[in-house]
Amino acid sequence: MRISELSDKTGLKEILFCADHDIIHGYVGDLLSIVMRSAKADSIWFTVQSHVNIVAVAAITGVKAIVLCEGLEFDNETIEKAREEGINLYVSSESSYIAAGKVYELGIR
Amino acid sequence: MKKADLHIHSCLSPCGDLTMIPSVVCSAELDIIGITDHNTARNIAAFALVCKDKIIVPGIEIHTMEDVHVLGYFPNLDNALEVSEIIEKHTTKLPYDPEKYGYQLILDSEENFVETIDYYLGFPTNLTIDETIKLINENNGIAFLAHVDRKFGAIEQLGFIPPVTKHVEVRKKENWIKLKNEGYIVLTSSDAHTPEDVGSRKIYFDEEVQNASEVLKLLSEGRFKTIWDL
Repeated sequence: MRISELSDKTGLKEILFCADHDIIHGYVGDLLSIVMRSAKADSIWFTVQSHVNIVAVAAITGVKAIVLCEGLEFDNETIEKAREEGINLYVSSESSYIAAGKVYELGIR
Repeated sequence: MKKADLHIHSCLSPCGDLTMIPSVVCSAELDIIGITDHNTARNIAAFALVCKDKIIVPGIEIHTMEDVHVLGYFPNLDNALEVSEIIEKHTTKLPYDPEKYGYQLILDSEENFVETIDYYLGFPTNLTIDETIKLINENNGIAFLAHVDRKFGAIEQLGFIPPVTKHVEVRKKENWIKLKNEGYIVLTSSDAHTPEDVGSRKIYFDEEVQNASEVLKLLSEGRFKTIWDL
């Protein structure tokens, strides 16, 4: 599903739109060492980490969109790096569980 | 009183400015300088060779699996390099774009850039906090939980300070007061990544120190003052 449709349907707030990526998988995780080996390419990733390293991990794994949950805010450096890497950024006021659950209900695995 | 800043990044850390070379860092008004690059000790030799009028404390800022930073301080370069090699084995070597994430440059004794580290030093190792502290202690070092009160700090990442050490580093005075009252030995330092930050937070030693080993002994026993003690 295109990220624009996905974010509209699940109420994600857009922070940075780089491209209307086609999202095939979803992932939830906060320990980068685990995300690095588990997240799939063309995923939407739900996390509570906001620092710039999440962009490096997303770039390496092929994650196309990062959702920062629990109403947290991205560091400015993170936004700038995401812009360079073409990775979309969103925030959700909800927990990772609820936010990811809504995407799961749309059929994203 | 001897002035010390024990948390400084060189040009080897990806987030460290390229101007963080020995002659620049050591021009600060400090007697004791701790070089603590992310996950490596490979630039300390250059500092030890160039900054002959300072006490250089070999250090490493180790990035644990829990995304917590732990500072390891060592009495000599050999111990630091031993740990640095072990950390390297516990790191997933992922290539990265230095243009985007920062160059990682090793210097020689004349401050020439001679080598780069090609895998990203800014990622976590697969060592837990416990394993990291054990590794530091087994190599004659002392471990401090870095900047516990900000990102990549124990409180931020875990919600609490794990009962593995009494040695912590803080940024803010209110946390210094709180943790000292709880029996911790509390360090503060600049965490400098650029020249103007070097020495921006310091500690002071009343007692004479001649080398890194003596610094470690005083650190370990809390025999130092912060600006908030003065």
